[in-house]
Formats: sequence, C-alpha cells, structure tokens
Amino acid sequence: MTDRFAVAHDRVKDLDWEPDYFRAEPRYPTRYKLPKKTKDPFKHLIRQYCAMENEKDDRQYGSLTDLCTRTGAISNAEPRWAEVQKIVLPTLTLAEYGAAKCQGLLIDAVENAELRQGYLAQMMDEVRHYNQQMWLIRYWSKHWSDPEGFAYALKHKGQNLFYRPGRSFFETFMNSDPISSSVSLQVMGETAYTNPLFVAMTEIAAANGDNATPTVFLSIQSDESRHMANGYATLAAVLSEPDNIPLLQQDLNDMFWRGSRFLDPFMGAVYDYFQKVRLKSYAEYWDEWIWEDWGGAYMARLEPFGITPPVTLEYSKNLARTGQHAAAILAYAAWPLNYWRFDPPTEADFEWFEEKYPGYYDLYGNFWDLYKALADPSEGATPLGVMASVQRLPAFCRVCQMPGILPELFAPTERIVQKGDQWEAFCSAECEALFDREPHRYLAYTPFFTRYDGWDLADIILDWGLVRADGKTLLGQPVLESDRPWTVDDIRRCGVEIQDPVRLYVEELRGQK
Amino acid sequence: MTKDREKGDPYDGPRDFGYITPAGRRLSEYEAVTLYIQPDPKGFDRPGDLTTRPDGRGTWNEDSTAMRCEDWFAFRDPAEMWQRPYISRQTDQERSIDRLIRHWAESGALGQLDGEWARSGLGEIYLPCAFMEHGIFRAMAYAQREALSDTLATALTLNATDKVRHAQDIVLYHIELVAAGVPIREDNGKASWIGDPIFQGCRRVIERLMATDDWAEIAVATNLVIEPLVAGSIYDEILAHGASRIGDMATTVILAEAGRDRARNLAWTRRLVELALDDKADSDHNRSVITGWLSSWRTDATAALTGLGPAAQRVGLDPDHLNDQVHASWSRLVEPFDLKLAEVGA
Repeated sequence: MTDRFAVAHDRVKDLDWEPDYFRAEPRYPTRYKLPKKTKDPFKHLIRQYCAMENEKDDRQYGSLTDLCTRTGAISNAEPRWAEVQKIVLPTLTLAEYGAAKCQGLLIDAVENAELRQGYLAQMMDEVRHYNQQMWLIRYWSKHWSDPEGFAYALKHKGQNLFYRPGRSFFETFMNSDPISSSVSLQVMGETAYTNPLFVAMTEIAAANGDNATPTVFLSIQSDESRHMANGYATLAAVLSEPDNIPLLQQDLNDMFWRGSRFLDPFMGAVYDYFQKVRLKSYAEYWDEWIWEDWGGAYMARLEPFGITPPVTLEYSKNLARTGQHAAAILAYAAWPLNYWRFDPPTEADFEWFEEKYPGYYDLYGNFWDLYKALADPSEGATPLGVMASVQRLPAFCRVCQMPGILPELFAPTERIVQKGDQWEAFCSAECEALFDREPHRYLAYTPFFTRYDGWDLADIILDWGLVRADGKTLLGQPVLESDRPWTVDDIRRCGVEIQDPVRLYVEELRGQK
Repeated sequence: MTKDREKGDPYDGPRDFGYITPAGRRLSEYEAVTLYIQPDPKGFDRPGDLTTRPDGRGTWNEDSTAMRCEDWFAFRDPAEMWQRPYISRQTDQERSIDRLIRHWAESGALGQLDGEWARSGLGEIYLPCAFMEHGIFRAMAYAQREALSDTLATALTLNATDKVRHAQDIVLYHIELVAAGVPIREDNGKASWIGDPIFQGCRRVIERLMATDDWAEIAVATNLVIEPLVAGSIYDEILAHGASRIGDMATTVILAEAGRDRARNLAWTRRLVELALDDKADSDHNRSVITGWLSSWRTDATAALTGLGPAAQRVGLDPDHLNDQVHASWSRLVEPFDLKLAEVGA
C-alpha cells in the first residue's frame, strides 16, 4: 500500500501544464527566482492527510468535550492565567488566518509542484487551527467564571492596543512578496516562535490548572513541524539561485525585526506576568528556542550559503529580557482600555522577578506601588492618568504599532520625525527605515492618538463598548476581585484626557524655537 | 479557584458569541468557529489596514469582485462545513473508496475490467480529468486569499481541497488499474489533456478560470457552469453511462463520492448568488454581473461540451441529446435566480 501511495505522490506532482489559451499575469509578483523542481516537504496524499487529521481531531475534541469538561479543565485554572487568554487566543486566530492566506499566495505564485503539495496541506491545517482556537475561546466562554471577555473577544480585540501590533505583523504573512511572506510566516514565525508559543505555553498552562489549552495547542503543534518543513523547503529552493541571497538576507532581517518587535514583548508579558504557578521565565524559553535552536542550529545550516542570522538577533536577546516589562507596565497602566481583569504581581512574584531579572524591583517597584495604590476607584485616579500628567504618553509606531517604550521602559528608542507634511512616530530607527523604503504601506489607517486626541478616557471606553451588561461596570479591572468594581463613571471622575503625543511633541518643539 | 457568581453579579456575563447573528434560531458550531476571524474594517476592526500590500492595495478589497454586498459576513455555507466535519466526511469517503478498490483488486474483479472500456473510457477520458480538477484547485486556492469574508474563504478552501482529492483519486485509481493488469495506458494522461481535440474546449475553459482575477466569478463559473455543464457531462453522463454498461462498479463508486462534493459546492455557490441577488442596495447590479458571468462562461462551457461529443459517442450516447439534456438540467438549475439569461443569448 505504501508503494502505491509513493507512486501516486510522484504522479500528483505532474498535474501542471503550460497554458496555451489564457495566461494569467502574476497576481502576487515575487522578486525571487525559483526553480521548478525541488525536494518535496510533504509526502502525503489527501487520503492519508485526512485520516491523520481526523484521528487527531477525534482525540482533541473528544478529550475536550468529555474528559476536560468532567474534570473541570478550566474552571480550576488560575484566574490570572485564564484572564490573559482573552487576548492571547483571539490574537492567535488572526495569525492562523493570515497563514492560510499566505498559502493562497504561495500556491498561486510558486511554480513548483513539490512545494505546492506542502502549501496545500498547510492551507487546510490553518483552517483547522483557527477553527480549533475559536472552539477553545467558546469553551472558555461557556465554562469561565467571568465569560464576557471570551464571549466577545473577537469583537473587543479589533480595537485593542495590544492586538494591533499582532495584526500589523500578521499582515506581513499575506500582504508581502509571496517569498517574503513565507520567510515571515514559515521561516521566522513558525520555525522560531511556535515552539516557545505552543510548547512552552502548554507547560505554563498545565502548571496553572488550565488543561484545555494544552489539549488544543499540542495538537496544533503536531502540524507545525510540517509547516517548518515547508519553510525550509522554500528556503532551499530560494538558496539554489545565487541572485536570491541578498534578497533573502534582507527579508530575514526585516521579518525577524517585525516579528520579534511584537512577539517578544507580547509573549514575554504573557509568560512572565500571567503565570501564578511559576516555571521558567520568558528569557529562559527565548534562549532555548530562539537563540540556541533557531539562531544557532537552524541558522547554521544556512551559513554555507552566505546567509547570516538576522542583524538584530542579539538585540532581541536583550529585548526578551526588557521589552516584556515595558509592555506589561503599559498594559497594566492602560487596564481600562482592555477587556480582561489584571492581577498585579505579589511579593512572591517580585522574588521570582528579582531572581530571573536581577535589579527588577529597583527599576519597576515604584510603578507597582502606584498601581496597587490606585486599584480602588475611591482613589479617583488611574495609572494611565498619572503617567499622562507627568509626561506625554508613548506614541504608537507607524510601522509596527508597538508603543514607544522599547527596548526598555526608561531608555526607549522612540522617535518622532517629520515625513513630508506629516509628523510620524516610530519605535526605532529600524522601523523608520522600513517606513522610508515603502511609506505607502503604512499610511492606510488613522493612528489611535490621532483618532482620539482630546477624548476623555471614559468616552473611548464607551466608544469601544468595554462595559458589561449593566452599562457601566468595566470589562477590564485592575484586580481580579473587588467588592467595588470600577465603572465608567469612576473613570470619568478621574478626568483623564487622551492627548496625541505626536502633536504634543511638535508643539513642544515649535515652542522651543 | 473560580469564584461562583451569584445572579446580579456584574461579572456574570454572556456565555456565547452574541456578536454573531445566527442564520437559524441558535448559533451553530460552524458559525461560532468561523465568523469574524477575518478582520472586518466595516465592523469591529475599524483602524483599517496597518500594513498594506507592496502596491498599496489593502488586505481585502471590495473591488476584488464585480459583485457587491452590504455584508459579506452574512454568507453561510448551507452545509455548515468547518474543518472537523469536513475532514471527518472526507476521511469516510476516502476510506470507502480505498476499501472497495482494495477489495476488487484483491478479489481479482478489477483485473477483469473490460479492456476496451479501460483503454478508451478510463484511459482516454477519465485519466486526463485529473488535470481539470487540478486546474480548478489552482483557481480556488487563489480565490480563498481574496474572498471578502471568512465564511466565504473557508468554503473556497474546502472546495479547493475537494478538487485536489478528486485529482488524486483519479491518479490512485489509475495506479490500481495498472497494477491489476488492466490494459490501460501507463502515462498520466497529460498528452490527451494537452493534445486530444475532445479536451481542448475543457482545457480552454479551465485555463480561462485559472487566469480569472475575480474570486466570486471563479466560484460562480466553477460551480454553476463548469461543474454542471462540463464536469457533470463527463462524470455523470459519459463515464457513468460507460461504466454502468459494462458493470464497472469501482468507477461508479469514485464518481459518486466526487459527485457528493460537487453537490455541496454547488449549494454554497447558490447561496452566494442568492446573497448577492438579495442585497438591498446592489441587487440589480449583481443581477447584471451574474447574468453576464453565466452567459459568458456558458458559451465557453458549451464549446467544451461540443468538443466532448466523440467521447459521448464512444459510450453510445448521442452528443446532441446529451447537449440538450445537460442544458435543460442547467436551465432548471439557474431558473430560481430569475436572471433572464435568454436576453443575453444564454
């Protein structure tokens, strides 16, 4: 039987032909030259693929609907961990969706039957993954004690300030030169980051009493190894043509920057700040999976071709130690604009932070003291309001959408620069350079601060619909439980006016002149 | 560790996806796991495109199809197909094909297949159809990228996968026939697809499909014209008739399984057309667009069908009768749309 499938597999790669009657213009042009024949990363027929996935589906959904439900798989989860899934899971669904779109690009653009076999299977896998993740979100909404952030996660994520950088990055999966998209998704996103995402997060989830997420994530990760193979096979095809080498190096540099800029602060904040039962730090996971496995072993295989690791790999090693603290502090400070409940670090957490990130408390302790002091609405102030009263808020980068607080909260590389008639904010020289190369790609939206300049924080909350069924209690809360949850009226009493930091910067600059 | 919520507790909120308006009385699993994953700039995802395409076009573009719709997210696949039921169904279908073919191969029945039928029917007609299925897959894979909602993209992805499966089933069956000693060509049939006059109309319409940029047109042309007029003629009439004449059960089973998928894909495409025709603002516009598509693609499909005449004769079918019969069925198929196709010569 195996021989029969092996013969068939060779045959199905010979179903292309050169059209005579109509010839399509390239719909997704690529700068790369690609050979028509290469190694096949996916030696399965649909018949075999379906049988394999069907068995995995039965195991996963069976486990969730039966065992997990009977054993209270998520009702026993640590609330701190559970709450952050309200942003993690919907963000992931777009990554999967963008990945499915990427396969459409590749199938259309890459005239190579071997590679196309792998892309087809991945296209189906990605449908599987976004369906699985939506199923999991619904499972949480049915079983979690504070369900609204799950039940309306897909609605609320659309405006969320921490989802936007993810969306911006995931758009590179589906909006770039098809090979650049493959580099972003398969070489960078999947090969470098899915292990820390789906494997490490599984460990943390299980330790924190969440047995549903590992059930789904491990099933997803069993597909990811095939996607990594797709990425490597695509790379091998690209590397066979010397003219491609400089293009590939540029794409590796650019896409690693874009990915790391979002993923490291985001995942780092989730791992380091939302574990209750603590395992390894994000930096430790990063060193193992990104630095050693990807930056070391994987990239070493490309060295003979003249490809070097991304120029900012070492920078990201530092970002994986600092960026998550900056991102977490801004996320906590902006809790009213989020749709989940926060749980500030305890003394035990500070001990852990100090051990993992020496000097942590000296740097950030004051913020947490302030945060805890302002947790009760009777105090009449929010951390975001206090920050805005002391100095202008960090602007969001025109390219990557990250706030201008990176790589370190107290040493950011934010820059506000005049581009033509407009002033634009960037988180770094690297993002500014990306903008300068293709400015038109980043100007199709209105930045948050431009849209809401002069608004009261309470009105933004209402505009985004971040209140519960009573019309006043906020979805986001600064602590997990409180006898007196915050309402939108409490926020209005705080009198926080959002002001565009780019405008403030320019006014300040002109005032100095 | 979960705090039990009491009635009236503000944290005791909704337990399902209330942002989705279900098509039926209750939210289906299909709707829950599919809808609003694709960002909707007119809905929840207001900021717009954060990183556009290199040419400045957006991630999704209303002008990617000539059809217009107030809300593409209102589309629902009537089969409510998402990945799990789809894979489960495909696995069942493939298992039944595999089991039966294996059984007939091992029992020796496959090897006793009529030689003339195997040579001229399966080798000369069925085998080249793998290329037709593959071409439709290529068009559908592109269309899923550009479709304007997640429910549409999912339907197109599953449709694309169907076509790959059908192409592979033909290839696998051919390998079984060769292994069983059936007197059939051993090459993959590409020469017939490229050069045999009976396939040139088919190849032309498939190449046109592969060069079409409008994702909705690809769906309509495939499932409302090419499949019922061309593929339907080959599979349901010519091959089914030829197979039944000589008692070829194996081919009949494979054709029936693929036919189930074609029926499902026809159903979702009908729903897409109904959505467009029911659009409050652009019903007339859509009527004109769809009428134009059906007319134009029917012309090419009819040419393909004419080219298949000698194949029909090989199995004892009268080509003119087949032509009339298939077109009569097609007219009944599109009649509910009330499109006045006769006025544009279709």
